[in-house]
Order: sequence, then structure tokens, then C-alpha cells
Amino acid sequence: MRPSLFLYLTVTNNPYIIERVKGAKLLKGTALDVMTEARDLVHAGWNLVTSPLYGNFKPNQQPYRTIVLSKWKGVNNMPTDFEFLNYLEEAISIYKDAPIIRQVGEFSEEIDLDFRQLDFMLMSKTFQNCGLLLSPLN
Amino acid sequence: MHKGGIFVKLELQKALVKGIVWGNKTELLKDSTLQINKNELLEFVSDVENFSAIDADLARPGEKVRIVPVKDVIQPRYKIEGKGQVFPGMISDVETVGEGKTFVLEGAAVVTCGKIINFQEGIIDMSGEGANYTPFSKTMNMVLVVERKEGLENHAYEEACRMAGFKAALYLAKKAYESGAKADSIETYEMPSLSERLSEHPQLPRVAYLYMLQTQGLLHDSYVYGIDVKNIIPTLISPTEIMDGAVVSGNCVSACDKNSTYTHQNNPVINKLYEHHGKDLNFVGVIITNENVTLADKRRSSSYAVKLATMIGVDGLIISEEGFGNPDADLIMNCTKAEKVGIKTVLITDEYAGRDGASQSLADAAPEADAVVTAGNANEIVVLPKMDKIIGFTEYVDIIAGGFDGSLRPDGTIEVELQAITGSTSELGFTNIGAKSW
Repeated sequence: MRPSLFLYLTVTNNPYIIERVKGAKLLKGTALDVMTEARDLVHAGWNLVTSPLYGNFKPNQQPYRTIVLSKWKGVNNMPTDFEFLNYLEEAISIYKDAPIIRQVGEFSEEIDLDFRQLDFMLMSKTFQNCGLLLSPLN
Repeated sequence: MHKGGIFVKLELQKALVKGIVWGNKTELLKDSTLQINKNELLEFVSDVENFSAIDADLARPGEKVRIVPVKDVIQPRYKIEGKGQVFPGMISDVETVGEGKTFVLEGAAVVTCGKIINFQEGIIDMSGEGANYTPFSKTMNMVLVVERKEGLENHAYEEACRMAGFKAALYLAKKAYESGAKADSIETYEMPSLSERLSEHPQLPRVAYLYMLQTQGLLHDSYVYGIDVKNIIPTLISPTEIMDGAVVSGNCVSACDKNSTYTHQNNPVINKLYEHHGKDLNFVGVIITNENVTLADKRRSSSYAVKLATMIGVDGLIISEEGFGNPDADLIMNCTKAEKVGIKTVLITDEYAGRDGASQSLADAAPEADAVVTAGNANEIVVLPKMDKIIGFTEYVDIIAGGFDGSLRPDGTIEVELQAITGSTSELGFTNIGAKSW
């Protein structure tokens, strides 16, 4: 792995990610809370690495959501990137308009594990590329 | 006459299948019934390393049969002349396909059924209201039901299931052909060298097809010649290669708008472009591109795809999406970047507009996207009647994409969104939904 020019931050409400990814921040809340946190970070100069709407899930399906952000190492006071902000605002409005937003722990363990694992699988290549995996993918 | 370059010509020899039965020998009978030796088939597709059990069943149009959870649908094809074999890089060598002759069992389909990602697989009803929405209620289906060995991970299960489907499709077409089945119709598709194609019909607009493939990650992937499309940059491909199964589905996204391998093999956008070629447009080729999760990938692929279109010198692009949400961003990037360099675009998508159809349909939008074809609203509710027979596993209907708590009613009927029905809002237009105005 080449030394990265970037700092990475993973915001998630998925405990499965925390055990497998360096520097991931676990939020206790809904997918919408994860997006709101990411939006605040973009306001503070972080860039989006992953799309907030990955995985073709509707808000009434997938309780877990994970977003990877980055910023240049050693560079402070980066301006807000409005393209990234726009992606997040649009994603947030889709979630806010949804009649049901799934809560963490709402499904049976078997189904819940599917959701946790799928969230991780969809992001695993990104984690690998960013050098964030705690152990290699099998 | 064709001068210089490689001249690609593919003949699809289509034998009609009007019935499907088990029997002693796998062959296409005189009355167009596909007879299958079940044991031989199961032996051909067996995978003792990955499957704890594998079984096969038949489903015919009009029967009170429900297939659930459906992973993929594949049309039986077998190359009888020309380089390579169908599904290259998957179950065949990686040799370039798309020329020669390919035998097709038209009207038959292999359906794979497994509990991979429980909530993201589909339903095929062979009769009733649900049958109106899936094109695969009209095909003679041979359904493979596979169960994984304990401990086998989801992505390995998906891969094993995918391969079993391709093997079954190859087996059926090969055996039918070898037993003497003859084509009822022959279709010929040509794609000359690019320089020659570009010089044809100078008065007509040059149109290419930008073919977006689902590539969001494990279990949401597509493959070209066995390569994970997530890892390609957009590239040119002959439409005849697509017909030979160079592009296949490996994904478990919501059932309504995932492009099953069958719809790749029979892509209506490609067929229509051929139909219009030389009449009102010059169909110059196909560019495949991906729909990745990272924004850097989205920017790279959309810019590169439009650059390829610019290098070819096209006047217009037909762009089809696969899936919804995240890929909406790719769709809009492809559209706006093309329009900005003067290439006109037409987009094909579907909608997630809420059950009343009143919400915003796409997750992204742009003023340049002013020519859009919709394949329907995936949130529309349908009630599926109780069936006499279920092939597969029913316990997940409640949480299948588009289903919801209470979907499975005590009387056996199911209330679901169209999202749960395989192929109901196909963004390639391989669907029964349409609109008319008076």
C-alpha cells in the first residue's frame, strides 16, 4: 500500500464495520443520522469518497449506512465542496420523505446479519483501496 | 463490399420451445417441447464443493406456480460455429465471441433460485396478476433450486449459483442441438469495422448505445468476459458479443430493475437500434460502462465514456441505467457530460416515485436530462394471489425488496411493490409495462 496523501474517516451505524475497518466512527442511530453527520463533516471541509446512496436500498429496507470521507493530510480549512454537499442533501431529502426508515435491530438476527454484511461487502473494495481494512479480504 | 478491418456477423438460429417436460433424453421434440433428462442435467451442474443440495423443477405459463426467491434468468444458447463459446470467461474460454452461428432455445429459460441475499431476490408468478408484470411468466422455465453448504459465504454462494445457471443454459441448448433440433427462424446481425460503419448513411445521425452495468460491489456486480466490470474503464464492444453472453449478471439488486442475463442476451435497446439502422439513424456501436460506489470512479467512468463517444464522433447516445439510487448519479453524469460536448442523449430508467407516484422519481436530476424513457414506478403496489405450488423458499417474502411486514397475508395472497417482481421495470425495456395516450 502506497503511503496515502489522505486522511480517511468512516461514519457508520453498523457495528460489523467497526470490527473490520480502521478509524471508523460508530453512530448510534438511523441511516439518516449517518448522512446528517457526513453532511456536517462536508461543511467542515471533508470530501465524500463514497456515494451516500450506494446499494439500491430504499429507506424502508436497509437500516445500516456507511459513508467514507477524506481530506488532504496537513491541509486545514478546506472549503466546502458543494457537489458533495448536494449529493448528501439530496440523499437526506430522499430519506426524510420516506414513510418508514428502518431502525437498527428491527429485524430478526438472520436478516439483520444479511444487512450488516451487505453494507460491509458493498464498501469492502473502497476500504481496501483506501488501506482501511484491519485484515485482508478473503 | 466490406473493405479492410474485421467484419463481424452473427447468425442466431432460433428454435421455438412451446412446452417443457422431464424425460429420458434431453432433446427438442417434434412438437417443440423441450424434454430434459433431469438426472443428467443435475449431474452436469452439480457442485459438491459449494452446494448442500440442488434440485430442479419446471414452471409453465398459466400454471398456478410461484418461483421465489429468483436470482437470475438465463436463455439457453450454444455456439455451433465461430470462435469461443457462450458465457466466455465464466464457463467457457475467454476467446472473443460474437461471430459465427449461435443456436437459441427461444421461449425457454433457466431460472436460478437460492437464498443468497434474502431480501433482494425476486418473484416470478406463472399466472395471476403478478404474471402480467414479469416477462418470465411467458417462458418455459427450468428452475434450479440450490442450497449452500454450511459456512459458505454469500458471495461464494452467488458465484456458484451463477455458474450453475450458465452451465444449465449451455447444457440445454447443446443437447437440443446435438439431438437434431432445427431452427424455426434465423436472425443475422452484422457489425462492420468502425471506419466502414462511420462512412455508412452520411445523412443519418450516428448513434451509439451507452450500456450502464450494475457494479456496486460484491453481490451487485456484472461481468464482461469474466472480468468484474467494476474494474474496467468504459470500452467498446460489439452488440453481437452481448448476444453471445459476453456480459452476464452477478447481482442481487432489487428484482424489478436488475438486468438478468436473459435480458442482456436479448437486449431490446440493441435490437431496436439494429431495426432503425439505415432508416433514421446509423447505429455505430455499444460502449459498456460501470456504476461504482466511489465518486472518483463515477467521475472517471462518465468522463471516459463520453470521451470514447467523442472519439467515435457520435451525434447521439442512448443511455440505459441498471438499478436505482446510487446509479442515478452515474446516469446524470453521463447525460450532462455528453450534452455539454454536443452529444444528444436519451435516457432509459425506471422510477421510485412512492406508492402514490407523487414523489421525486430519481435520486438525481439535471436540466440536460430532457429526453427520458421510464419503465414504470417500482413502488406501485400489486396483490399476488395464492398459488398452488411454490418453487423455492417462501419464508422471505415478507422482507424481499418491495415486500414489507405483513406482505404475506394469512390467506396466502401477497401484497408487494413491483420492486419484488423479477424484471417488472426493466431499464432495458424488456418489460410488459407501457403507456398509451389517446
